[in-house]
Amino acid sequence: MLLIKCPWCGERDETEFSYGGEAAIKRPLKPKDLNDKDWADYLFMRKNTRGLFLEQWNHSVGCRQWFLVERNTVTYEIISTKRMNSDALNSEDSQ
Amino acid sequence: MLNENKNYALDDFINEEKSSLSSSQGLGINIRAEINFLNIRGSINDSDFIKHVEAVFQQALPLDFNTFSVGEHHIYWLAPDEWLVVTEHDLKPILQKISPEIDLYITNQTGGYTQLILQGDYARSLLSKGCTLDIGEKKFLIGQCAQTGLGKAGILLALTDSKPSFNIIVRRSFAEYVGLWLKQCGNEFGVNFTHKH
Repeated sequence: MLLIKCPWCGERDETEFSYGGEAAIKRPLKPKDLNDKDWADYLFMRKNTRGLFLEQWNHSVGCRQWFLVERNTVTYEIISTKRMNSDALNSEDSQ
Repeated sequence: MLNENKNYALDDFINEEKSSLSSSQGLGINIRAEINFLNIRGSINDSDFIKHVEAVFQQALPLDFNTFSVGEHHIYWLAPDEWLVVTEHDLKPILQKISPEIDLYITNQTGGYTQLILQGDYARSLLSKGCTLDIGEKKFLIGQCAQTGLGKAGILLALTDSKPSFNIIVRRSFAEYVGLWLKQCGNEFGVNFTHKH
């Protein structure tokens, strides 16, 4: 069982959380200009990273906030968790 | 409208339990009826909102995560922008004091929740049977609250004194489940149910 550190509530049991998939996916600025392939790519296609992966999680039983989790998908080790805000997401873009 | 619903959650449950009440002091569960619940939402960056809420309830709004404030009411922190007020007072005079100028959202959730007070030496042992939260004496302190799970139900748990007394706030629709769960798991501690209006 994982102990996940909610940025608000502290360490809680894995069962209190729900998984939200890959983080930092941006909605296209001009959806009308997109062809079907690119739109489908935005809507459905997700990375399946082996190793370090940035994910979104929701503390669904607790404070119901979305936050970011950096997790190793091989070892399940959670490297860091942080609050979801524009600064956190933009810093991921620049990496 | 308010307080007119006299058929409280767990009424039937309590009536059945009355025949089997024991005199154990080790563990008691008190089911509270006739209390009101208000959900408040607003931004913690908005000082006008905080001042106004504190003026209306004449009580501090708990800004620290997972804490609650005690005064005329209990005010629990639920989320960074959300609080729950639990009060025995009539809601109408309180709600009339709310200013429409302030950016806040307030919802009467009285019909949606039930509160149980779990009290006695074995309270921590009983809760730890079905709660994933670490409620050890050094981890869960007086004045702390937490939304967590008990069995399969979501609850708001708060520690109010050193007896210890835990307030358990649960959805009305889950109240009977939680009552039965506490009864079954509290059997070995001689759990004792009472009803307080």
